[in-house]
Amino acid sequence: MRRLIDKLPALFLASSAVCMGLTGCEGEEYADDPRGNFEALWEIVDTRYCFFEEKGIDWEAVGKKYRSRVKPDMSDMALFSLCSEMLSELRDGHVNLVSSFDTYYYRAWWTDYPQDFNLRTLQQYYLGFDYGQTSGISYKMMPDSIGYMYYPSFSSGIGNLNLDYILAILYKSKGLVLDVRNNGGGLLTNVETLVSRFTDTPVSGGYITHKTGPGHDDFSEPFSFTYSPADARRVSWNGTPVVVLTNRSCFSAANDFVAVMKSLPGVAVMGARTGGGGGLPFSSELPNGWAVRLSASPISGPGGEFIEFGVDPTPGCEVTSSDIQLARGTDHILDTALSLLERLAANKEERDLFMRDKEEYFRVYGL
Amino acid sequence: MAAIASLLIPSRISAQDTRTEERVPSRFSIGIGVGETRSLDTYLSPVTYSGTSFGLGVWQELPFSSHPGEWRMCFGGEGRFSNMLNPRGNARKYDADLRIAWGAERMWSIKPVTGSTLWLGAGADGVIEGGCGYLPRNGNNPAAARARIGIDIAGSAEWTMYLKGVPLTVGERLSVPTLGIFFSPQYGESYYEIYLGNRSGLVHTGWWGNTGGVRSHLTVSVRPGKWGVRLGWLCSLQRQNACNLRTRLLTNALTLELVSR
Repeated sequence: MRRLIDKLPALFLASSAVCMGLTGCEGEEYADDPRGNFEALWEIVDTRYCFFEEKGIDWEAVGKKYRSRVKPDMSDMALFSLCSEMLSELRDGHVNLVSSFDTYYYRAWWTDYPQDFNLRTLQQYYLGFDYGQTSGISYKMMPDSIGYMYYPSFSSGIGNLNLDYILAILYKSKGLVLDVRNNGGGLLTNVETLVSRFTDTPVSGGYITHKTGPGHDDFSEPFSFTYSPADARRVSWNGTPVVVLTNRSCFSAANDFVAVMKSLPGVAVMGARTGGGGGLPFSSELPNGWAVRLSASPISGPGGEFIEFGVDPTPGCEVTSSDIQLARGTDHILDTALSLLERLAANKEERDLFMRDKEEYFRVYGL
Repeated sequence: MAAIASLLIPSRISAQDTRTEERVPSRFSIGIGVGETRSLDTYLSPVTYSGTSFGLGVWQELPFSSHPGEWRMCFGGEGRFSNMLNPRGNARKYDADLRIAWGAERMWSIKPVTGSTLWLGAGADGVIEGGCGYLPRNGNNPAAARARIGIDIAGSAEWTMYLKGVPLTVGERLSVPTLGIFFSPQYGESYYEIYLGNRSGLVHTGWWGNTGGVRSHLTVSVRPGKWGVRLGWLCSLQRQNACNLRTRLLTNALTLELVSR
């Protein structure tokens, strides 16, 4: 015991030294130099990205291709350019690299396609610069009692009370055009809020999967999730036909929204295929402080369909609006939706078939 | 070693109080701590953040009424908030941490030098810990929660001597996690998925293979009257390896407490 007592001061100091030593044992895995930052980025994508198989990407080969171009003395801008080039191999609009001087952003998912939409044309020729606006949603009762809502971003929070007002004001509509063209996505909770007003029973929101480890095939079992109808105290849609308008610039949360709405009875999706973005993005960062974002958790549609490459319109509802038409003040997609809803409002037999089986409706009657 | 010991053992010891201490040391303390925290949570970022931490804690030690000379009960809690930056200084991370512990210790008293008393203790703490790291720059994974319920083994040593009649106590309390359960999302699982209802695989059994760490509080206190002051150095490390995710939270802080019997 006496020996132990003699050693006590040393034990105090030793325990303290252990703690101090632990302070320094969590150094960065990669150095903050061009090589280290490149390797960190490559590994983040390698271990976190979720669509290698679906896109047929050999990430090892991609790394080999770009690694040889990393130079110890290259500038930050040159490194950023190289890293951006490597990331473009993913062909993914959810992938970003953010530095203090630039942001990499993959644009080809929409730039390679017609726009099919012009906001000025809509506001001037259809809304007459006279419309209501709340919670980021523009709305108006159109001629012939067709309701119209335009929601350009799911980043705009939807207040339940605001939505109550909009749906109450449009409650006497004979049909609704719900326009999400150019909606680049945002919060998935807004998808749930909006969908809940168009169903009176729980509906499938889709399936979500996550990575369980760093391997390319390390995925969990798909988890099915549902969206519940809005609380009975809330104002829900009146049950008349709904047409959701889409273009190639509908992405991410908007893509998910369209996939769910397409599965609902009495709702048709009209326009062009959406831009995709079916992976919930995660963020990370490099030793030099650049932020990285990439698709990490795949979400599929209500039927389990793969939606990373977009959601097609309801069969028979593929419609385009050319730039020339739009420049002349004609939105062909919106015109087609309005005439369809007017037709359904005027013809009970057609409306009943549309509400019961919209795909059959378009097979029989077309647009 | 003798030189180190000579620094800690006063050469002139008061003869004021040499009677045997009958009861285990007991006290109430409340204080603050300021120091540095280093945080790595690969769910949020592979980069280690570091910055300043501020803490507040209360701690109570009481002898068991049935064995006042052998056993004492300890309980208390502490909260800590850390404000950190990444190595490049262009992103900020916040961390909040709360720890509540209740434990019991068997104490032994020794008289190494006339006029001083050394108490050695060994026991265990039941611990509830919770915390959250928050990285605002992240989009869908901005926060990572931590939660643990477990048993920590604990040891303590207290050496009280008297300088001109004033008790001076040098103490150390060390605790190390052993078994427990803790929370961790899966490797790439979003909190949105948990919100949607997928709650499987979130609770894990903790043992030295996947949770670890150490909590050491080295203190020196002077108590001229009923109340005294205690200065200390707190070193706390929490480690967790689960679901291919690594979490490290290391804090070194200077503490200043008011203590009373």
